[in-house]
Amino acid sequence: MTIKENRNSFLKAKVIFDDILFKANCDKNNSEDIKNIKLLQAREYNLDFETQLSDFICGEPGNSFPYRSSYYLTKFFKDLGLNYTHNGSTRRFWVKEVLQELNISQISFLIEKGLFNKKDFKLLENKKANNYENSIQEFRLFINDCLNENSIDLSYLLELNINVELLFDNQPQTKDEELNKLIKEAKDRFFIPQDKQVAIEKLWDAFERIKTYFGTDKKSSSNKLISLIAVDFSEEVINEEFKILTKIGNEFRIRHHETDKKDIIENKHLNYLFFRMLSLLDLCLITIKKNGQNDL
Amino acid sequence: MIDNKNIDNFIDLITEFNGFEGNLNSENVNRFEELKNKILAVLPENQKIRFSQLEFYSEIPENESNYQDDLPF
Repeated sequence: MTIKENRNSFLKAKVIFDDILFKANCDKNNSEDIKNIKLLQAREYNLDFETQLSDFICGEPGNSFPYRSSYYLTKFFKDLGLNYTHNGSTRRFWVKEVLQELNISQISFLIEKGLFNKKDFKLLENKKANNYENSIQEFRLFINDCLNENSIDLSYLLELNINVELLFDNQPQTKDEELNKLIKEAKDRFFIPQDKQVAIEKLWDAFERIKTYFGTDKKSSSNKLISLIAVDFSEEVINEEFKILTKIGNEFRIRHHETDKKDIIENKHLNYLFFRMLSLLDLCLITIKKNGQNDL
Repeated sequence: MIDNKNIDNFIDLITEFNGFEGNLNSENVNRFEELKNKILAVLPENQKIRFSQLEFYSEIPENESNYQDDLPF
């Protein structure tokens, strides 16, 4: 058996490694690095990143970038100091292959100095309505779409995890429709990865709302709720839980969005806070149901 | 996720990987496959997909163009 190496794959693998090392070593206070990190996120999230960027470079129908023939594609890369010559194959596939051999710093350079080179927009005028401003909008949309490319959590599709189900299956059926709506929306959004932050915010809104379930005087209403929950358990523990979760809601960027509020970045912390709050709300809902809802 | 704690290990894997470029043969291909698996294990999710889509070599049977059963013309 003879082994025939594929050199292009080694080049592409090195680009993957380069990008990972860049991410690990970059300076998050450096403006150039910050730009490249965002671009890299778009590339990471969207497996078709190079295909879609290739469409812009080629000026394919449906976008506002100038059409580039074989000659101009070669010129495009050579002008940027990248020694690639179009080999006559399908333009967009060829460009995609080239892009896969460029690391994120090179891609960034290519976008800034090549894709948005105003001279090309003037030089390559043709039947297509090239438009510099529209191209900028299309590119921004492309990056935003890449960043929102998150797929749905498989556990949601498979309806897994019995413990989670117990919490999630308990549909709020209080007389306060707004409260029911907030909890339901929080649960629905939690399974969409990019909506987790919103899910947490909704849950904390529901918590503030449930505190006034027994009247507009928040203090006396929440004291009543705590007393009911604490029957045969511990008023001190429940009271403490109410206080701590209120404090978390105020100190982190959950209920308020001032610049001094701490962001919750890690998914594991979002999950922790979501389930901690959902458990307490679940306890509140069970208590309200058990004690009737006549006081609303 | 690759961070400051495990970056040295990752760099070691890359160095070993680079050593195979231009030197891949039937004798070391199994070691190369083992290395690929080690790399895959530490890559972030989507980079894992990209990396696993790459075909680093093709296997050509010996004497492929010289089969005994070939027609004599």
